[in-house]
Amino acid sequence: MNERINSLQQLAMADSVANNSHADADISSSQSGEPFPANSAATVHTGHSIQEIAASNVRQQTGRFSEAQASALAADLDALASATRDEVGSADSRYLLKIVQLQRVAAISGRLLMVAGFWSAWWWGLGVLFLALAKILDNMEIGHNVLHGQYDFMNHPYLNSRTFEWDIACDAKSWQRTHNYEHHTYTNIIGKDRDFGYGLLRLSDDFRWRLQNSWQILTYFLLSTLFQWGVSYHEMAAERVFLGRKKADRVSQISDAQLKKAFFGKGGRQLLKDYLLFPLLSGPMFFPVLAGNFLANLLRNWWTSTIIFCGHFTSQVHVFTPDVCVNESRGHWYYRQMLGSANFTGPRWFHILSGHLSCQIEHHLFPDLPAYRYLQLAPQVAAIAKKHGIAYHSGSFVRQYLSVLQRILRFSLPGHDRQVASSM
Amino acid sequence: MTKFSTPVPSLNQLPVCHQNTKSIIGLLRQCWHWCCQVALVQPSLISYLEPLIRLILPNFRAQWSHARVVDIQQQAGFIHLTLRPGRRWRGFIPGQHVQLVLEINGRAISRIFSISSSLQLFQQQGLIRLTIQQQSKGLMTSHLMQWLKPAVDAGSLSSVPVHLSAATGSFVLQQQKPLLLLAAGSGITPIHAMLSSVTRLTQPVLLIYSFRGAEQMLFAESWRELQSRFPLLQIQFVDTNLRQRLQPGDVETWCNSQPQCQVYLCGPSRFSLDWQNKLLALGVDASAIQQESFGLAAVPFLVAAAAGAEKPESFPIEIRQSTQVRNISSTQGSLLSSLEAAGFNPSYGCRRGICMQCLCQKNQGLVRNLLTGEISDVGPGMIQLCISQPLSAVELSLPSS
Repeated sequence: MNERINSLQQLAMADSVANNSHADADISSSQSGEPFPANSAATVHTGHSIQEIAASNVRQQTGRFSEAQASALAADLDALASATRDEVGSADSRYLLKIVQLQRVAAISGRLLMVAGFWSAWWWGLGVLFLALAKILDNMEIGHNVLHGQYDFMNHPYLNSRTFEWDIACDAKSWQRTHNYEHHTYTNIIGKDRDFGYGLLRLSDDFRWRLQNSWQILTYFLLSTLFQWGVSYHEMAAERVFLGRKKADRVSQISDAQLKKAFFGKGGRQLLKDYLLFPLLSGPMFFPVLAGNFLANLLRNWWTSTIIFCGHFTSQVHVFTPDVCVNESRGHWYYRQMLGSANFTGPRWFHILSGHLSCQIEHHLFPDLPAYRYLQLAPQVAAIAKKHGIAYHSGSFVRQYLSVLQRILRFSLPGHDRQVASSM
Repeated sequence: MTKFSTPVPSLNQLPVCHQNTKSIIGLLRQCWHWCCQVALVQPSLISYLEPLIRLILPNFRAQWSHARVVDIQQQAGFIHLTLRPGRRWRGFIPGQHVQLVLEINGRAISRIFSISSSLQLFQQQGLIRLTIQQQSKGLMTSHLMQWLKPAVDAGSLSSVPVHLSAATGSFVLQQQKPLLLLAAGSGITPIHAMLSSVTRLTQPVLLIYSFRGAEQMLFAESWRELQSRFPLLQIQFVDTNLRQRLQPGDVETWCNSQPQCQVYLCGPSRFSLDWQNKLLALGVDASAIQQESFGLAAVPFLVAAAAGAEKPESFPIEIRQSTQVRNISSTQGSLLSSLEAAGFNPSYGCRRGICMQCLCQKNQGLVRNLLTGEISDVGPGMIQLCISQPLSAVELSLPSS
């Protein structure tokens, strides 16, 4: 029944979505006093409520970025994108092949070394590190970027955004819907981008303070530890599959039953693989291999969540009110992506292990350009930002990460106007 | 009797779903396949290992087998491409087609062509020939001439890797019956493969081959040779440039004299459709007609649209979804809005070219990217529906949902 309604809504809204005007619905529902979920169980999963969005229109922090400025910005960035797109070719496909080769070598040797732990625990430790490396490469530099369609130009039979599947609990298609669509379209818009705080963390004063926010630094560590399951559950939380009431304006592309099937199917296969199939294959090393796989998954979870948090939750990063995406021009979208993201610096291998999310700004401006190009684009984007007087958030990894922890701690205490969403 | 021996394609090249699940081997095979998918999170063991194998064999591909280009010849609007497939390629049944893949500048470009040479050429010399019609806006033919021809002519190995898929298709001779073969243009290629592979002919065969101008007639010598070898083979040439037309009368007489005959139709889809209707009207049983067609007939390519001269108001769009085919007309704006206006429900997300949720297989037709202004190739490719505007008739494949 739900599915039916959703598909009807979808048809009816086809036009309004085109103009992104269902953002209106979002605001009006919060203004018209649609109650915040009353029961506390729901609250956790429905995320934070939007507080006085209308009022925040008054407090404009960023100041107006006019349509003329926006179109000048769009012209510069479009020119840069099209110049880079012309260069994309064999260098990018060779690079991807090399990374996949490295990932395969790391995965196979990691699993074998863990079994060699039969002779020395050192081998086992090395195996865990190798497997973690393989999983990080698979998730970040290969999976994330391939699923963005960055390498679709290759017409590769399986390294493409339609068929690729990755070594993580999250189903690739589900991730594409929430990440590629919601997060990349509505980046840092309060109430529309669930990636901002994942419905668990209060990261700006736009959200009403609750008691559980006071220990949210612990919630963050827990989320980081279980990150792959958080990512996997993300869409079900947004769709309120198990808890909470569906948002009135939410357009679902897929039924709850399909969501559950993808969640349990992919998650189950991953558990089966790491905690039964490979341990069984290693015979007497069953338990050490099981523990090693667990540790490799844990290392990957910590690494990926740390990298991802540095992209959007540093203290410099801006948040926006839902009205900004009403009839938003391309220039304003670019502008929002630049202010809503943050880069960090580091050696080349660090960029590769981060899947080039160290160039989060470039990634958000050009999500479909191969990540291999981001380092080359970064100085040019920084120059364009300077020319147009837009802040370009960048810093060392340590500085950015400390800034993330600071933001999590800062907003765990109640407050009002320290940092709130701005319109444009 | 038409008779030829054919190598059977090996089992592992058939998709799993077609295998007999009832036999124990089939079950074990499925189980193994499933375990590989779970353990490796990749479609198969071979595709998991492919990147590593490429360290030693740079031309190895999981899905394709490598082929070496032996010769490229041009003949008025056609390219004859002679290939030596690698050892992994498992042969073909005359009439089948293959996917030809070129890797140029990191991009795999693939098109499907019928094999036009005989089985004997493959069995004795290990060669196959593809006969490719040159298209003015075709990527494949321009790349063949630009990248491969110079290297082949110089006798050196070309730097562009060429691959072949396994041969597929059911447009093959099956029954020992009289034959009526109707071909137009490059539709003659599978029929040439069939006839030139025949070793002994005991049933009458009529081939009617229509082409545009004498210089466009393919395999002229081969026809002479075949006619002298098989007295039962009749060939009728129809040159449409000389105002000749395929006469339904001739076909009717043949059908009346050979009521049991099996019909093979191959040509542009318009040609196949026309003849199918005519044959049905003549009382030929639908099950006796085998056909293979290619291309939207005479796609009205709007080359002027590139210059922005005139705004096209509407183009026909053919949509294939699982087994159904529907025709609609494009509206103003993107293909996504055209499809939605016609009642389709393709998946979408941002509707402004960011999220790739509406990525869709275009089988053919020209589209313009509304964001970058880029104009696509006429052949198959992936497009984002929300930012694609048709510039010609377009054929799309939607995933069934």
